[in-house]
Amino acid sequence: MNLPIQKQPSLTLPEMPAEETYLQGVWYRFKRHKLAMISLFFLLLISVAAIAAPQISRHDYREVMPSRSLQAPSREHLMGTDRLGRDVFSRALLGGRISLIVGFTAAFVAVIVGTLVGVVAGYFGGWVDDILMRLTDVFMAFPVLFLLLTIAAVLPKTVTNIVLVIGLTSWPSLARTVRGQFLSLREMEFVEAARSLGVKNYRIALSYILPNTVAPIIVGATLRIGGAILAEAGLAFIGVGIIDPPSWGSILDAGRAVLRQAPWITFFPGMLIFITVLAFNFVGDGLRDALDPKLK
Amino acid sequence: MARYILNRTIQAVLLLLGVSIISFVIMLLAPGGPTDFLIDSSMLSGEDLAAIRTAYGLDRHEAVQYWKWVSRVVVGDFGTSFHTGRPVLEMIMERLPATLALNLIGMVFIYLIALPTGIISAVKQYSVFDYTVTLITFLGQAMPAFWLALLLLYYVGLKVDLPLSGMATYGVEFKEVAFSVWLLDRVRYMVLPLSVVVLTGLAALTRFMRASMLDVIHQDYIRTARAKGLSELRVITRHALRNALLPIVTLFGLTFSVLLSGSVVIERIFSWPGVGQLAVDSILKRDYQVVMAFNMIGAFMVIAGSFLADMLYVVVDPRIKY
Repeated sequence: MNLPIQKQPSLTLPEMPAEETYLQGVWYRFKRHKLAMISLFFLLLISVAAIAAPQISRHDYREVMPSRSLQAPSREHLMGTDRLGRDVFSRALLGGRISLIVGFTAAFVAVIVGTLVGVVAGYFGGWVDDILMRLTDVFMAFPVLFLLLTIAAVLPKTVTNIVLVIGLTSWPSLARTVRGQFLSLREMEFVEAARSLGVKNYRIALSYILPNTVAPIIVGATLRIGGAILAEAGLAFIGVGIIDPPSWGSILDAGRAVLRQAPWITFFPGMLIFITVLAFNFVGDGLRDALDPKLK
Repeated sequence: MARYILNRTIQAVLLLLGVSIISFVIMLLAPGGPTDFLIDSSMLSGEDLAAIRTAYGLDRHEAVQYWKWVSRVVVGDFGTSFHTGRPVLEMIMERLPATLALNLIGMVFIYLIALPTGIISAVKQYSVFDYTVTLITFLGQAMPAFWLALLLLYYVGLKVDLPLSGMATYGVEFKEVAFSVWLLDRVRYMVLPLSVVVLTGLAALTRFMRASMLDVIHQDYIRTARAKGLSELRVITRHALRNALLPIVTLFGLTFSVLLSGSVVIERIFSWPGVGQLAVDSILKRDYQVVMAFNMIGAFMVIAGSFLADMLYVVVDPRIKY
């Protein structure tokens, strides 16, 4: 967000050294985005919780206790229990692991493919660009949900498969962005200078132009993590997601049948998905402002 | 212009061909064929299964299968379902009205709410209203539709005596009961699913409208309009708004396919008898013919939508020429 800049000579900003590096500037601007900072903190917290899940939870996520079926949240079971008497809190902690892993890796896959396609198409142009962009169009023309479902339904429900399915369906828009940046950047003087010095093609693309497109790539990556978590939850909800160990989406789906008696089974995992995706979106927003001060 | 339309049409055909090949390949690579999901394939002998495969042409070379399929689709024949034995198009058509009703009405509400909200938010940038709207749109974009649906089911549906699934009370048919009775019945069934459609669809359009309006407000011609002494209302409605609405045309085209696929999850939760449910069921049962039809119709709508948007743009924006 843009704040009106006021000159206040008496007030020097101690955090800002006279000569700041790019990263220091980014961090300085990012810190001003309060919601992004809170979100970042929350994401760190939830990541630690997901990593240390077995240490934190008092119960094994598979531990079946029929006598404790469908218990409401209590001090012993912070998020209640499900139909088999399993502790929802322990399941949700572990579910966070799965959901976050899917989110990060699927976003990674999407960013790698999207960037690669965008770089090659944008740098070389011509028929290479034509072919790659038509391919991108085909993927964009697919109704994404149908494509996701179709592939997810025919493959075994492993983490790797779900990651690949989500990653390989969410790259096209990023490829277009990167390509667009390359098309305009490759006409700039510094590229011409590099070329006249005899710098090789791949080096111009990778070490001269690519660093200038880092901002949209990082922002796109952050937003895609949240998007991938939502996508996985949606797949799980339809019954083609990851079941063991459960993701947040599949815990939620399992609670649907007993919604009337035990709403907590659907409430908590859904809440976690919601807040986590929200946090990634806020961090993405903060990064957009911080990485490229020229953007609004 | 004619040349442009011709180019776009050729492109569209190629795109559809690409989509058809990809979805056909996915289906071929899938482990387990449609015969595995027949009522009880274990009761059939190998010969019976072979006979069924021959009957459906599953024993032919893949390229032959693809070619036969494509040549029928071109004339609008999507084949028959492996499971019901009925024409695929007929199955989709009978489900279409329910989905269209839900999504069309939803879209009307979304536009009616999101456009004014986005515009006001932009005009009053940095006001409390603007910050509130921005925050709510963030919440809306992170909200999983299925979770919202379940929350509404539990906290509203169970408390206020609304029907929780289906689309109509059995026997309450148009022309058989008074119109008001029929209308009330349909409305009661639609309230919950429609709320989810609208609430989850609002955020994106509001943000888009706000961004578009902000973009326009900072243009020089708005400053000019103000400088020549026009009232603020006139500047906003006449000079800014008309330009800010232009990108919405594109957005409408790009989201055209939402009419078909926008409510898959919602239909599932509320047992809404629409195409989304049919799509999911067919995918889970490997009913290839139906799935392929969905992929093709969906892709067609995406392509048609963007074509439509580009054409409309020429109409609404005289600066654009092809």
